[in-house]
Amino acid sequence: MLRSTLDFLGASIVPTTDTKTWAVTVSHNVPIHVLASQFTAAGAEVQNVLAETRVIVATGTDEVAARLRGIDGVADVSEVPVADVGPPGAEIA
Amino acid sequence: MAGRKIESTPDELYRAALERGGDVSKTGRYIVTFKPAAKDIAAPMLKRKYGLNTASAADFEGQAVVFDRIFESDGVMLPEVGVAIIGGEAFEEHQVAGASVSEADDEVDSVDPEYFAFALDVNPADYLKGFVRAAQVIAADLQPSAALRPAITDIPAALTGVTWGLAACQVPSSSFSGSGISVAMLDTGLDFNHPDFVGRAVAFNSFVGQPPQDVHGHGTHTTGTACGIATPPPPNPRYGIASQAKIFVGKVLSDSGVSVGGSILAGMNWAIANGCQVISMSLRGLGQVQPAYTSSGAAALAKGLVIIAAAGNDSHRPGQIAPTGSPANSPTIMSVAALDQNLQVAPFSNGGKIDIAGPGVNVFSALPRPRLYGTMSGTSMATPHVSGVAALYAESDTSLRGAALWTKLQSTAKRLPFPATDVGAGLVQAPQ
Repeated sequence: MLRSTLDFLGASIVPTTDTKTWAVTVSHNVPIHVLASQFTAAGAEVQNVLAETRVIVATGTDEVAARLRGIDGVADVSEVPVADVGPPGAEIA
Repeated sequence: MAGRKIESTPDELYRAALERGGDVSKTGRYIVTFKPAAKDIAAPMLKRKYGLNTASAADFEGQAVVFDRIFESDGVMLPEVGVAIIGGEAFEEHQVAGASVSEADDEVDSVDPEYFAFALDVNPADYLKGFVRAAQVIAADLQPSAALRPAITDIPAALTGVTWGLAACQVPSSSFSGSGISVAMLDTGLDFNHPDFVGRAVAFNSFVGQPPQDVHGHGTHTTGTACGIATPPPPNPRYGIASQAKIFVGKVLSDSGVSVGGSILAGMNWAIANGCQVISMSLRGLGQVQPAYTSSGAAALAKGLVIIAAAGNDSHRPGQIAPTGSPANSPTIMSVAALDQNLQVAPFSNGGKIDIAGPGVNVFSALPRPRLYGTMSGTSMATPHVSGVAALYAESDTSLRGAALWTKLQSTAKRLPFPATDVGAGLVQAPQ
């Protein structure tokens, strides 16, 4: 109830305590596994270290994401994008 | 065999059937139909004679049975129609042989397997009607007055037995088959025991916590177009392009067709790590460019891959053109628009950042058993046309990798009289 009321009041931009999944893009000048260990220290739970694409998938709150953005070598922190193809039998897919 | 219980979801039943093989049109459950006079004593009879415990639809509000909420029962009675549905495991455990039940019990009218019902039943003859329609369009466009019209005028009239999409992309006359090339299909999985894929070189992985077996249908259809067999059994037309490519099936979309966590990113990473030359992603999300996708696309290009993705189906042309979705809107990922049989932009095809176009309306390809084949529309169907052709180019010249392959696909595309924001470089064309 509280959350929906805040949303209604336009307060949804306020960082929440919800845990989200983040796609963290990292630069080439820092070893990715070193960064992953720093993420853990920052309070994130590392789900997947994608060395080929230099992306780390991690979970944490908005506050954790803000801390990740401050780590040297982190280029971007965005919520993991969602994609779909529609339900089975969709007219257009 | 968990998929044969009364409380199994349709997806569980379907996956279990595909894994069992054989006649996959059966769910594994059974339908016992009672004689009208026996409806009221049916449940006690099943209990007394066979030890079967049955729930009743009458236990649910409005008799709206929710199967996955049936607990500790072997089946469910539908009293209004005088039918009981019995789980396959319970049916066999209690040795309820169909013939003996119906013969021995005065109350029972028949015992039958339960069958799946599908929304996409397609008669190949209906598809052939579509082919005739395409031929009529071609014939009309060969008239002098049609010289300036954007039609499929390059298709030899003698070409039959292939989909309109393959014909439009000049695939049948190509001397390449994708041999030696690895194509990653990041989608809902594949029906691995589809007769057209049996014996093919296939590697697979699931990133969504479900088996890679496709129960949705989308992944089998797109894989069919990009990498399907060159000679499907008659009367089905040829629908596959890179028929000898190795297929890397990455299940990044769940059985309901949605990504899970970082499944797509993980699938892209897997395909790159395994040395694929082409990644096909017939999926789309909403919103702005995602840096993680852009980074992944750049990594792919640097390592000699091209990632090809669907532009999305959110437009209602001509009035409203929705922007290209992600990941196709990333500059390092090739975005694909959809065309119809007349080489017009499909009404649903998104616009903006478009790199190339492919056939995306009424596309015939493979579907999971027991349907086997069917037509679908969307930029999802246009994308594997480009991916399959990309595999042919990669086979034709080992220097065509990454950015060079991207450039080749665009430079050889058939120009179309539409803005690049709608069709990019034009209709993809296979190497000859």
